[in-house]
Order: sequence, then C-alpha cells, then structure tokens
Amino acid sequence: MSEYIIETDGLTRRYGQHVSVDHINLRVPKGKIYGFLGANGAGKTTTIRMLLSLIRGDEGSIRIMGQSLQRDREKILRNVGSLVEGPSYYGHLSAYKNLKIICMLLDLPEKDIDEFLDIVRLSPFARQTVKGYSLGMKQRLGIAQALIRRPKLLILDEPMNGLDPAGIQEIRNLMLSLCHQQGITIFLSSHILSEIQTIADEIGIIQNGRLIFQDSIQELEKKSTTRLLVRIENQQEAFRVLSAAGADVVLQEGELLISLSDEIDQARVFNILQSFSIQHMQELTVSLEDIFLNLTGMDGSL
Amino acid sequence: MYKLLYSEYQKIKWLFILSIILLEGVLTWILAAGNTKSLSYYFPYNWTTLYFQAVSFHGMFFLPLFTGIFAALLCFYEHKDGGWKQLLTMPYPRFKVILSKLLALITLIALMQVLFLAEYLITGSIIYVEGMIPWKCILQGIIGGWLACFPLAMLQVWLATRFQSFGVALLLCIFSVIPNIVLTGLPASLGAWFPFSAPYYAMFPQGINLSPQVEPTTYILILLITFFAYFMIGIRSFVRKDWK
Repeated sequence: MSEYIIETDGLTRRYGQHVSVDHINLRVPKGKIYGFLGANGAGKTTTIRMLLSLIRGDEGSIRIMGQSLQRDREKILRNVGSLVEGPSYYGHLSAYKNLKIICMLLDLPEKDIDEFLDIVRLSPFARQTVKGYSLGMKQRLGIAQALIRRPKLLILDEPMNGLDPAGIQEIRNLMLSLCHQQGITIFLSSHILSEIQTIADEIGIIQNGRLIFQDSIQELEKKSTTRLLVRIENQQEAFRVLSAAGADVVLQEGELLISLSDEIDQARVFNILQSFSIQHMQELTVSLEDIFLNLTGMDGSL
Repeated sequence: MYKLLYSEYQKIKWLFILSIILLEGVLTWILAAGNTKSLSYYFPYNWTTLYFQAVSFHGMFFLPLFTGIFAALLCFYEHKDGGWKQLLTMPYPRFKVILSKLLALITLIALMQVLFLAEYLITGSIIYVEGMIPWKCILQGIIGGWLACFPLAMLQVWLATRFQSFGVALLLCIFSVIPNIVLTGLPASLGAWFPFSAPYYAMFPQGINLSPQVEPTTYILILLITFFAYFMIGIRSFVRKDWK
C-alpha cells in the first residue's frame, strides 16, 4: 500500500481556453493534515471537486486510498467526508433530520447523531430548521455531516469560512484530535496560510492551476531568508566590499539591507562587517505568510 | 436504491404537496360537477359524463402541469443550498440518484391519480349522478394516464436537474400545457409525441363523440419511444454533468 492517501498524476482541468488546474501531482501522506493553499481562483476548489468526482478531469489520474477514483468511485466515497465551498444542507429540515438522512443513506446508526451534534455544539438547536441558522452554525453542521460518516479522509474546502476566531480555534483543535487520535487524514484548503500553518504537517501551494510547492511546513520555513538591516559609518565602501564578495545586499537610505540565505553566508558577511564600525544592527525575520505571498506573487496584490 | 427513494420521502414537504393536490381536486371536481349538470341536455347525467368532464381538466392541464411542478419541487432543495454536492458525494452511482428522483416523481403522480379516483367517487355521490360506475373504463383511464406520464416525468426530472430556478421551471410547465387545448384535438399518433399531451389520450374514455382518435399500438409505441429517448438523454446528461 502506498504511503499516500491521495495521489494525482498530471491532473488537469480546462474551462475553454483557461487551464484551471494544470498537471498537478498531489501527494497527500496518510494520517497527516495537508494544507492546500492558494489565492482565490488559483484552482483549489476545482481540484477538490475533481477529488470528489463532482467534476471530471480532462487529463491525468486520481488515486485515493490506493484505488482509482474512476473505477472505484463509490468504494472511495464511502470513506470520504467532505465540505465543498460552504455547507450543503436542506434548509427546511432540522439539523437532526439532515444528519438522519445521511445516516440512513450510509447505513450508520442513528444514535450517533446526538454525539456529533454535540461535537459541533449544535445540540441546543438540533430541532430547529437549518435555514434560520447563522453562517457559522451552518458551517459547523457541514462539519458534523462530514464527520458523522466516520471517514478515513476528510476533504474540507475553506472550512474556517464564516467562523469567528473562537470557532476557528475550536475547529483547529477538533482537526488535530481527529488526525492524531483517530488517524484521519485531513486535506484542507485555505487562502490564508496563518489559518492552517499551526496545524498542517504538509503544505501544497497552488498558483494559476500549478502546484508550485509541496512539502513539509519545515521545508517551507527553510525558504525563508533572514535579513539584516545595518547602519554603518562607511556605507559606500561596505556596500562595495559586500557586493564584491557576492552577498545579496542593497543600499537604501543610508542603511544596508543584507539577505542571509544560509550559515556560511552569515559567517562571511559578519567577517566583512567586523572591519567596519557598526552603529546599529537589526535582524528582520520573514514570516511564513510573507514566504507564501512571495511564492504566489501576491505580496503586491494584497 | 430503496434508501435513496426513502431519503426523497424524508425531504418532501408533504403538507404543501398534499395541499396543492387537494386544491387541484376541489377545482377539477367543482368544474366537472358543474359541467355535468349544466350540459345534461347534451350528455347523459351519469358517472361516465362526470368522469370525462373531469378528465378535460385533470388530464389535459393539471396532471401534466403537476408532473412538472413535482419534478421541480423534488430537485428544488438540492439546488437551493448545495444539496447536490451532498447527494453526489454519497457512495451511490449517479444514475441511481436520478432514478430515485424519477421513482419519487411517478409515486407522487400515482398518489395524485388515487386521490383523483377517490374524489370522483365522492363527487358522484354528492351530486347523485345516475347509472353504474364504469369501473373498467375509469381504472383503465387512471392507470393508463399514470403510465402515459412516464415520458413527461423523465423529461421533467432531467430538466429539473438543470434548471436552478423553480420559477423558470414552473413558467415553462404552464406555457407547455396551454397548447394542449389544440394538440389534444389531434389524433394520438401526432399529439402523443408531445409529452404534455400524452396522458390525456389515455385518460379520456373512448366511444364518446368527444373522444380523441387513439390507435392503441401506435400510441403505446410513441410512449415507449419518447420515454426511452428522454431516459437515455436524461441519464447520460446527469451522469456526465459537472457539479459546481
């Protein structure tokens, strides 16, 4: 058995001339939380819809739990819980009845309903019709609908949408416990890195339909460069010497901005700087969000 | 499959469905009773007259109209709040999902026909029509009318899965039953091609000077061909559709 629960090869989807998802090779490891990041319109939802067979891909293949989605669709879907672009529900029915329909269709015991309503804190409103719920409550119902299926894989598209900060924290904790205690793999998409960086083990970044990064969050962090802001007496001379030594340095408003990519680089720069009289030195750290924005080229657009 | 059908039963707003069926019944039978009385100079004041007077409203307008309304209602809640995503990520093949909608629809039509029969018996007793109840003729008409709705039901289910707006579906149905005034005057070999007209030919009793011209073999063949055609197109289109 493969170590990956989701594997796509060359998965592609076009809408007319526009390539929405462009030959992506997802590798989602079993038992982990995988954060699927990208700006709005980058192709996240299209990818998720293909993973759930709501739409067909034009090219490429999808294997989930080692089985081909095309061939074993029903077998796979039995073990997948999902939430795509907002919750789906029957507004004229109560939360209880919405879950009851799912239990009936999947042969699940009806006694589970109360437990899952409790998990998403909807028990007090269980008998009210869903159309009167707030967006956050509907979202929580959507999560209960995905969880009650007792899936091996959860596919959640922007699950934090519409939730307040407390709700987001709650869902984060829930996901961590589902993953760590029950071994459920969670594939979740977001357009905000900070929303998932604390819980995701693996990150995939999609931009203009292409998967531009896919690795552990530690690998993403390695992409960060420390920068030093140095005020120094003889800036012109220091700039010349550093540049000649191959350092990534910029002279701006009488200060030097030096990018340090690794430790060897750091040692070299410090050696050079020692021969100058330093007045002030400040380390500028780059957040993961900056890396993400930088990678996706969105730093200018936000 | 049974479970999908049962989930449809759970989702249906029964109070609304039963109310509109009963409303149709009241309207149809008041009109039919009125006509039976006022036209007693031309037609005998008996059970057969009462029946065909009702078929002139029920078979010609309400039955095809309600087939469309029910189809739209059965898909309405899936269109409204993303229910299709929920339903189509269940471990059921897509063709079973659309078949369960079709089965739910023809069950509702059957219910409407049963109530039509009950209302017939009640109305006849109230207005004291004469003679014997022509059981063979009316049962044949009611069951035949139900079966003749199948092509239309399949067409409507297919359209209902595509039209997101209930209003559009309703308007389309209303505009489609109006031509029945003219079309049902044609022989069945022509008129029955139009699915909205087909049920009328089966429901209207033969042997009256108003009876439509129906050649049974051709008529049944048309029903089979149209049903099969809508069935193939509808299922194929539903199975291949992109759900956004």
